[in-house]
Amino acid sequence: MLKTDGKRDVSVWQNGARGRSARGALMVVGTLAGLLLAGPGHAAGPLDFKTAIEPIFEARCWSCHGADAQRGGMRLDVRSQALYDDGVIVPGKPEASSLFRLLVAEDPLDRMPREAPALPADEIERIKRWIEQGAPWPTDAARTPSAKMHWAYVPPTLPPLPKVRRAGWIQTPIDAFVLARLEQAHLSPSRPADRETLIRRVTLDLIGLPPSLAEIDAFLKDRTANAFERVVDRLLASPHYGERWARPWLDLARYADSNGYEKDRLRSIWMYRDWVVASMNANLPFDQFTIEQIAGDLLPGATVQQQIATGFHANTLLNEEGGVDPLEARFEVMVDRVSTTAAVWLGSTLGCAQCHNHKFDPFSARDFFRFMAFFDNTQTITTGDFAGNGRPMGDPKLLVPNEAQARELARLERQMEDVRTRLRQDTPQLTAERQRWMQTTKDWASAWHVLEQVEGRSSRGTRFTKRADHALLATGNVAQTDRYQITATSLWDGPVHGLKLEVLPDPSLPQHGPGRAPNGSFMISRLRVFAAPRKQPQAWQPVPLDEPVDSVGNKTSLARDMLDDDPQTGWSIGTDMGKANLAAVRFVAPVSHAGGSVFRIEIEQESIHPEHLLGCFRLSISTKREAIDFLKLAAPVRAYFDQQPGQPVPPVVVEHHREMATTLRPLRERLAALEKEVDSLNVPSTLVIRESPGTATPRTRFREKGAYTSPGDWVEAATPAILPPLPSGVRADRLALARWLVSRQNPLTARVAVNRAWETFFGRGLVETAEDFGTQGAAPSHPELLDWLAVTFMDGGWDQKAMHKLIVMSATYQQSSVATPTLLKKDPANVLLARSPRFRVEAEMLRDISLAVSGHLSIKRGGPSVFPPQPDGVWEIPYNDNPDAPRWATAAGPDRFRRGLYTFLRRSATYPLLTTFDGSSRQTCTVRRIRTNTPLQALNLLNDKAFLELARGLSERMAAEGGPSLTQRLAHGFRLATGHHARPRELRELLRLYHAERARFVTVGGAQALLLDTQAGSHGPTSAAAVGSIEDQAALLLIANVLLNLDATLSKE
Amino acid sequence: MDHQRRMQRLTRRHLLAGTGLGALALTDLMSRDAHGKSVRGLEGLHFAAKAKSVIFLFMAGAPSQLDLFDPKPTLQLWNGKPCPEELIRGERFAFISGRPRLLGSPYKFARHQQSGRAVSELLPHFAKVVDDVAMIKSMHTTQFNHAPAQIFMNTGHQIVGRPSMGSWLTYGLGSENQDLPSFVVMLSGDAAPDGGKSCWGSGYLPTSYQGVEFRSKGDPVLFLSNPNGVTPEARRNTIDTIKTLNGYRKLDVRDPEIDTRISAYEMAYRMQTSVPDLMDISKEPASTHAMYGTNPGQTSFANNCLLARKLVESGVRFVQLFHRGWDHHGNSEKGDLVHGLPARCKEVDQAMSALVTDLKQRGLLETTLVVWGGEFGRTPMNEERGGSKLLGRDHNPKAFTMWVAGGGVKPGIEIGETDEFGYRAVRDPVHVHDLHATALHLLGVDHTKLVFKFQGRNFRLTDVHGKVVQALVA
Repeated sequence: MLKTDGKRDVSVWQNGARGRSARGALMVVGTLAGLLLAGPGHAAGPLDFKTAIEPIFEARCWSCHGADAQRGGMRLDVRSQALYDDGVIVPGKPEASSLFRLLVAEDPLDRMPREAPALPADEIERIKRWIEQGAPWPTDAARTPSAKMHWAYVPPTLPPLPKVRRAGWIQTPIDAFVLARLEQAHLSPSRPADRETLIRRVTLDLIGLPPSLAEIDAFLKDRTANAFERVVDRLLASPHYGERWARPWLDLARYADSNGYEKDRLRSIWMYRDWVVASMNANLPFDQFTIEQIAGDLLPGATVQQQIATGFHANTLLNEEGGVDPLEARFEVMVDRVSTTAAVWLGSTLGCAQCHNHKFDPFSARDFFRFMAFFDNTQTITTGDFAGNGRPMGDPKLLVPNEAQARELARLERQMEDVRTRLRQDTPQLTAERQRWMQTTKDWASAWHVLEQVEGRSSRGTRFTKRADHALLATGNVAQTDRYQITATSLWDGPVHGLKLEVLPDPSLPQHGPGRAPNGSFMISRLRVFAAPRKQPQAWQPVPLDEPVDSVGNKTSLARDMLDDDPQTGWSIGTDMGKANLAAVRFVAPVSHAGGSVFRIEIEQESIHPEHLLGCFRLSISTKREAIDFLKLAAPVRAYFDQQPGQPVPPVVVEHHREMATTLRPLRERLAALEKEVDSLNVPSTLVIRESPGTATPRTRFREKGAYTSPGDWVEAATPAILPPLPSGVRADRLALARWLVSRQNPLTARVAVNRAWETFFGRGLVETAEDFGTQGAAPSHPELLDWLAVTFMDGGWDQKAMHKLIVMSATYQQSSVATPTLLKKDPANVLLARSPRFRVEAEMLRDISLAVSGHLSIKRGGPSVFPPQPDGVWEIPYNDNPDAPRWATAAGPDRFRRGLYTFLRRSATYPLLTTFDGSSRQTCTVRRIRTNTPLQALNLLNDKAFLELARGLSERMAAEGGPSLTQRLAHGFRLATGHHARPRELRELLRLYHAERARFVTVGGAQALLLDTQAGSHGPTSAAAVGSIEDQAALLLIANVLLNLDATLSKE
Repeated sequence: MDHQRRMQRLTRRHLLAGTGLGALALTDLMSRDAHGKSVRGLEGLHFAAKAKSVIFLFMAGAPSQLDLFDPKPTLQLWNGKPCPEELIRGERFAFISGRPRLLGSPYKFARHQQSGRAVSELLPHFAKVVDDVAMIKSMHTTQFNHAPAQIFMNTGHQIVGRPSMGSWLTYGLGSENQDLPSFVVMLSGDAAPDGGKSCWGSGYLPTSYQGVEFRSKGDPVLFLSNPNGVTPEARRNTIDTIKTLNGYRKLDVRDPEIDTRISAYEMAYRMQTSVPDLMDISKEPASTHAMYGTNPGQTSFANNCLLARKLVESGVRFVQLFHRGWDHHGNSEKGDLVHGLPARCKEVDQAMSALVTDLKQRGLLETTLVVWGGEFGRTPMNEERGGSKLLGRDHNPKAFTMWVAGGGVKPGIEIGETDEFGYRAVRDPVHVHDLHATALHLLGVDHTKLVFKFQGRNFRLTDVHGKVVQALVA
């Protein structure tokens, strides 16, 4: 025994040394020593799970029943999964516990561990005694992180600052961690960046726009100690800050303006985008920012803004294709919500556990579905005409009026309420009108007379019996198709105006009928009526029919379909099985015979669906021409008039009359006009998440192998077992999940959040795999720095602006990005940060830089997405060939020049700049964009009309602001674009190009055409004329085109 | 971590036979991340490659195997009769409801050439090249709606977000042409496929691996043309200035990424000439036009077939043609088997057959894998949606026919068989994953080894499935 544990000591030591710190490992060794003294030797005392039992499980069981594998669904590393309920461990009864029984099984084929020697007797004895003592196992919450646990699941603690030699370089604690690593690697940090570079870098980083020349000059002149800090504070307070920082968040949120998939119809959810921008600007603390997005609707007294925030998860794709199963589509949405939440807050690939237990990280498939349960209690609604074939699948829409609209809405609502009140009031005129109407209707109702003398015959062996209510009930053979011939006699010798066919339920029929098909349905493909005088029963005359009426049917199966000659169309009752319905027809000319009539009614049933035959039905005739109108009334209204007289008038009848009363028509028209006014307000809407009513704990079905088609048992919402549980006594709903995500106990969220911020500044996270902090992700390059930042972030109240300020105020951030040959050789990927990174900026920022230097940037914030110039044909996608399809309507005016953030994003036809420059099509959560450099990018920046117009704007600005001389103008443009003063050699090259191209325009022409095509980018005729001749303008435009393509312009240096 | 490892491979080059190792190919450049480091998937081939390039003729909408390739005498006998219960019990259909009637093909089949392959009268040209192709009659898939099934056929997964086959191959193999993208997509027929651009998207691979759409209207490649009034000489001059100024910047900041950018601009300039030259088919000889049935200046599948040959000849790795409009449900004349299907067949028959012949004549068929097919098959039942009297068939994921040719495929053979109604694949079924595995195999790639680490796990085109159909391999 000693020997065994001694061996384990070594392995723990090694794990500790490989893992976090040798100190941690020593601590464990200490505990083990304690165990050896206090543990098994003292047979009488209570056993401590941590020290006496778990080590056995770890050594003997975990390789098959632990985090990595769960043979037979069994897991012995987490209490909540140790299957106490299933008899694996029965506290107090070792013999009843299969855990114990399997350890002592005689047959080696049954015995655990499989294919290994039995456990030493003393270990078995210990487990037995532990079960006898009630098998106490501290809850998962009480689990102390062991040295074996992957670093990311151990809550961060504030590490001490490392000792460094060059302490003078340090400006913030960040620098101490970075410098310590550099000194270990015998590298020195770079000198500080020059001020022009630094202000452009920090301005791009914090607000996503280049600094203006005035801002650069002010910073160059300001020699006070805190000049840089003042720049930083100014930028953090800028309303553009939120626009810049919303961009990466919107990649995570997979924000887009369309549903995705085949139809890819447009959706309105831009208010969510604006909420993100506003929250960033208001510096909403990250914990609150999280809670409102995951569960804003569940906050007590949730504000409109908090509801809008839930758009985070309403951003999922929606598949509206014809044959899609709405529930399956919803399942896919839920899967995406789980994976996205795990990636964004936990840096975890929980999605891997959809189909099987995670192969590398301690997440089980059960964890996945427990997590899904948090989200699966939300409402879905029917969206659009085709969505879900009428079954709910989309997220609810929230109407959000602006102030003026809200006032207007309130005014209209008051007026409408006034009209509605008056509509509800009885006036003497109305009462009188109702009396008249009721009398007429009674007359119509009583004009229908059931045909009592009826006989049925069938061409295919159906037999008919008569019910007491004179209905015919079909029995006997059920043929594929049939034709019923019903003969009915009536003694009435006045005019007969129509025929009514009631189809009725009967217990003898499948699904209670009224049809004979296995689903209770039928289809009448044709109805024909013949009449003859009762006294001359063979003198049949066909009776022409019109005005078909039915109480049920859908677009393709109405009563009128019985009257055409097409046997493939007919009347049926959809899904209204087991209920009474009717169809009726009017006789074009009334039938009348002295002494009464005989009717022959032929009911043809030729459906392509076999056995769709009528089972139970009753026929009536009418003695009034208008009686057919009675049948057009709603069933509950008809029911009143069909009763014996003297019953009280039910409200439904009174209401029905109100809706048609002539007396009230002016008021109804007034109401309709007001409703139209409400519509014309165009109150914007946004998609939100809303919890279904009810208080049950959210749950969902476990799915074997993650497949929608294999629903298993119900699982209730819970956090992954490896992570802390929800606080006890809290209802496990989305709000609890949201709070848990940002609780101090959660080891991941703060680390993941600061790592992403770091990545945005430095181009590479401290954990390079920002989306995966699991065992398969990259190890942190600076683990202590990561923890220091995470703890500082939480201690500071999750203050994002403070975190960003902390980073940019560091000496690390402010280094030069010049790459020395030594650094390129020793640390090509710049993992150790001996210099600042230099990289091409993202798609949206490319646009924003060009917009800013062109002088066209619109500072309008928020609102619906906009349509800058885009080549024809990009939106030619399926279903976009019909006239109602959405069109890319290129904006004129300021909306042409809005920041990239506001460009309309249609998922299946993304704006080309995004496609070309590594942008996300926002179909799924994108944690990082991988940067590429390609020729298609060069073509985009060189030739895209959107960029040429901006070059036009820049060229006119160069002339207007640069000064009278060409050299001044070129120098001005160079500085606007790159933030640097041009050197003589750079100016010489620009001059050369200018003169060569100006001469070319003079000799071969083209200036006019170029200017015409870029007209929208001109600041006006005066500005254009100020540049000079059209050749001057065109040549300067080409210079601006070059400037907007320079590496220095496109890069954050 | 994996990304980092990939970065560390930057100096190692792939060992593809036939690749100009000295030249920095276009996709080579495209397959570099921002630091100019290679993010290529493979460093060498797993097997000797039979094929170097692929032409995938994708018939979006799903053509009817029963009216083109898979004659069923039993089905003819049952024509118009209600479908046996066991065929439809428990099945999900997109539009069929109740008990439908079976529909024999209205078209005649005959056996052709040495191999004696049955081909419908709708494809007279194709009947002449059957000896060069292998028919897979037992294809099946897991999706029965267009968009998911098309995305499945192209990416191996029904939900958008994974890389397409062309992306995987360019990621794995790179390009052999310096002036052209290595994954080119061309569209014809009704519109873009239902699956949209995701059918040629790069998913989680870098965006440089996505298919580049060569358009038949406007610029053949987006932003390829110079602005009005700017001559090629002027463009050359501006690019020279950009190069010079970027060179100066390089002296100051010593960032190697600047070299990548300079190369990108050079290649962009070359593409401005090479792409329009290639896309211009007006200079092709009359015999070629007669062979393909091409008409310069139009958007047509025929033109795209000829372009596909030219692209492959120029070293493009993966050419994919989408021809949309095979969804013949019988709910309109255009969408039925009597009017719509023959019209579509006329659009593709001559050109696809000419492509096989032309490649063969030029000795390119040996190294070019041609794949033809849709996203699923069609039912042997007549759909009769809403009582329609037009003939049409519903979606059927359980059986369809695809044909493949060249690139190391055994010619003139037939793989698999469907049941007597042509409804289910019953012998040697070939799943979409198996087709993918086989295509990769023919290009020298082990489908289980071409992987990309994303969200914590290694993803591949065939997910965790796929087996090479050895019988197809010559």
